[in-house]
Amino acid sequence: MLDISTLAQTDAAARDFARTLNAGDVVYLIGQMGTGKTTFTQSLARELGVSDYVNSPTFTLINEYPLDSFTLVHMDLYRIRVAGELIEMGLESVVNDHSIALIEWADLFPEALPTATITLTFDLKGHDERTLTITRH
Amino acid sequence: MLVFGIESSCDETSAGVVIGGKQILSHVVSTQIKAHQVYGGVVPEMASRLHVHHLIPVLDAAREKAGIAWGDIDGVAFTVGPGLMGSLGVGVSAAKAMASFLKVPMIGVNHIEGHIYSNLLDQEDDFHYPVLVLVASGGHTQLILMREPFSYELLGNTLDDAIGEAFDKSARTLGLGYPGGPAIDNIAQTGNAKSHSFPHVRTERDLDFSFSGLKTAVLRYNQELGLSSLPKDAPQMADFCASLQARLIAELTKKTFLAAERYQVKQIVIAGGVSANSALREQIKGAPTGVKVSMPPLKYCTDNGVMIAAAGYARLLAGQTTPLNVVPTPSLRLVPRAVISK
Repeated sequence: MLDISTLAQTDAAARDFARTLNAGDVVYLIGQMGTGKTTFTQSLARELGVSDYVNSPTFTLINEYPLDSFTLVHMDLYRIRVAGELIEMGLESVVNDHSIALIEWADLFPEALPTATITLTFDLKGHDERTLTITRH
Repeated sequence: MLVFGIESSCDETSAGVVIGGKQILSHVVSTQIKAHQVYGGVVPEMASRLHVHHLIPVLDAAREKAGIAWGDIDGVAFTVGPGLMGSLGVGVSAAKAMASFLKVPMIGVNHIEGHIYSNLLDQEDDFHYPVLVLVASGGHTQLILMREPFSYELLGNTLDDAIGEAFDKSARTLGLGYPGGPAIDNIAQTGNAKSHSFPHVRTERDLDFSFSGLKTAVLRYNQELGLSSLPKDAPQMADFCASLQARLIAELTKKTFLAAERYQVKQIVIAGGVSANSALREQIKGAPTGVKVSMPPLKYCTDNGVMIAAAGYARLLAGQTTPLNVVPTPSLRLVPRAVISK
């Protein structure tokens, strides 16, 4: 379990983690609002070479960042209501061997998603104590 | 010239018919069509993104309400991106089928450009360049400079959440339901906007936006004051919503006015779902003297087909049409990719 209470700690943890990723990885991000998922994702994207703005995918559902050897895919399933929507969104063409996928609220539709290769669990204790647990499957 | 517009990039399946880029003959959104009428109750109404089920009834209704024949159409405009690959594909395929059958040009439109052109709907006036656009929606918060038609420079962008998302997540924290923007706007009407204060927001570049700090502040306030357990009509809830809304909107207008002065624009237009917010519609009128302020008619603020038709008309007039082999572009940018320091 990693301590990511400060911005610098979150940034360092995200950059270290980014360097372990390979094309084909599917990463589930589990954690409530305000536990550091967005900040973590921004640092991870920078480390992988994304120079564009990295915004929240809550409304857009899928944000794609094409890079040289793979596409970084950032998804948020919070607003999805039925699994059929995931098929219509074109999930298969987005998450594949040429992508690294970060999926928020993946636990809502486990049956309709590619299996996670890694799960990141974000926790908040009290006001300011944030932790990250990395589970490789 | 009569343009048929199709929008299916994310939540809404919508179509509409527009004459001359301004006059609306029809405006149809899938959520207006009762699910049981169309599918015998097979598809739950809440599944708004099942575009393939909604599309044909929506296209038919748009033609019928407009009182036209298919053969009257001069061009078919459609959203080519940004959005979801599968959702965009449904609209793109329909546009291809219509354009090739009717033997008329098809015009691929950027979804954000559609929102910008919704400002010309039902208006006499055209744009007064240079134009500053504030795009404010659930998925986007951007300041864009248009020095001439179809020229877009990104001046600022949100670094984290979009403004509509900040409204929505705050409403979720406060237990006010979905969609959160209209809920907060409604409750804020009777509140005191000076009752609660929020932390100062700093961004490295002064025209960028950031809303995650305000979202966290709402979480903290809720922990301290137990706001989410109050009834929705409690005076304290109204005060909090009024203060929060004033602050969120002030972030938008402060930077919009700063950009308007810096780039000496003649007009400010707002675009996107949050342009329906009552505080934004009021505050944006405080623009620097001499700058014309426009906003889309309320019913065309959220995603719709007529705005795509309006933008498509402008492109068609300029001779810009799209080849039949076009593919959807999920990460389409209106402006060249921004380069951010690492």
